Amino acid sequence: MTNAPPLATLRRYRPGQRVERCELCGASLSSEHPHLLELSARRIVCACQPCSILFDHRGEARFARIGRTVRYLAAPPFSDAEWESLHIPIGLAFFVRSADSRIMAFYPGPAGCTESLLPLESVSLPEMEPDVEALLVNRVHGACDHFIVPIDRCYHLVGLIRMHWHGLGGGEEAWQNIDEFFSALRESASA
Amino acid sequence: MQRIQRIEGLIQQIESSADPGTVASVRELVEALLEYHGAGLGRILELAGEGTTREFARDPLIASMLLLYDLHPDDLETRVRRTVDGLPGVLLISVLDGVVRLRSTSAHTVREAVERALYEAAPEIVAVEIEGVPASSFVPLEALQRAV
Repeated sequence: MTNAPPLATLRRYRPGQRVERCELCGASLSSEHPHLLELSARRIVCACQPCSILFDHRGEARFARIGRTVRYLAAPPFSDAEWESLHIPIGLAFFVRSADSRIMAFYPGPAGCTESLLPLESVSLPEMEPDVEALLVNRVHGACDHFIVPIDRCYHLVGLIRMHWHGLGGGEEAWQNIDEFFSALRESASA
Repeated sequence: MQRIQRIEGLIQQIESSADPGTVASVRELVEALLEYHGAGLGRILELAGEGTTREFARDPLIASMLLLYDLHPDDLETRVRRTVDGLPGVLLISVLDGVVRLRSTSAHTVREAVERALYEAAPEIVAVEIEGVPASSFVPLEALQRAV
């Protein structure tokens, strides 16, 4: 039996203490835990370390492990004209390449994440992992930042916007959250 | 503490061996029971008033229940200070964000004994650091679960 301090086990079960759990084995998770992408539903699954390794690309590749590396692209992969031609309604978007080489573009909005239906054949994406990595573009307020990020970071951004967006323009709180998200991203990025 | 050890032993056994569905049901059952008893205990303390609550807290059995539900009338630092004062060979440096820092003043300080006494008085402690005593073999359950 384990050597846990007295009450530690029971205290995890107190009301309001509901900890995040691994969706594959039920183990309790710390706030920093790996994510898997469920490929069929493009859904993020919280996992413990062992499951994230065990289920990565297993069972006809149902899940793919999402990494943690963030890269800042010093050279923008799009020219301004190329970006304009994509007609993304806000200055934020992320691009994913699926395992079968299909390119998808999504942009976050107050209602969640919208997939751009415009043709994307002309888009050339930088080198990145299929499905689990995304090119994240931030062109709001005169910024021109491009990152290769784990896909869960994009969903995190979508969640932030959904939670804090008010009215047409978003409001101060939403933009503050977006700014904080990108400064944290820059800090964690390698060149 | 023997009663708690028994309950926690059973929970750990189920968590580590049962199938995920059973573990989830057991989790809900234990949470519901704790919620029920915690709410009742909170109400009892409200009606009993502060003086009686302090009297309750002096009883080791009731004190352990109050600690389980975060209902103990003394805050973390008070409980840590009282425990450290009762232990020979250690001085309290600080209690910060749940981390208790101590300095050993004796060559005979046994880390396990100090930790056990502290966790018993303050289960919400995140870590105990003792200057001058080698690292612990005391592994939090969470760390074990991650490592399995």
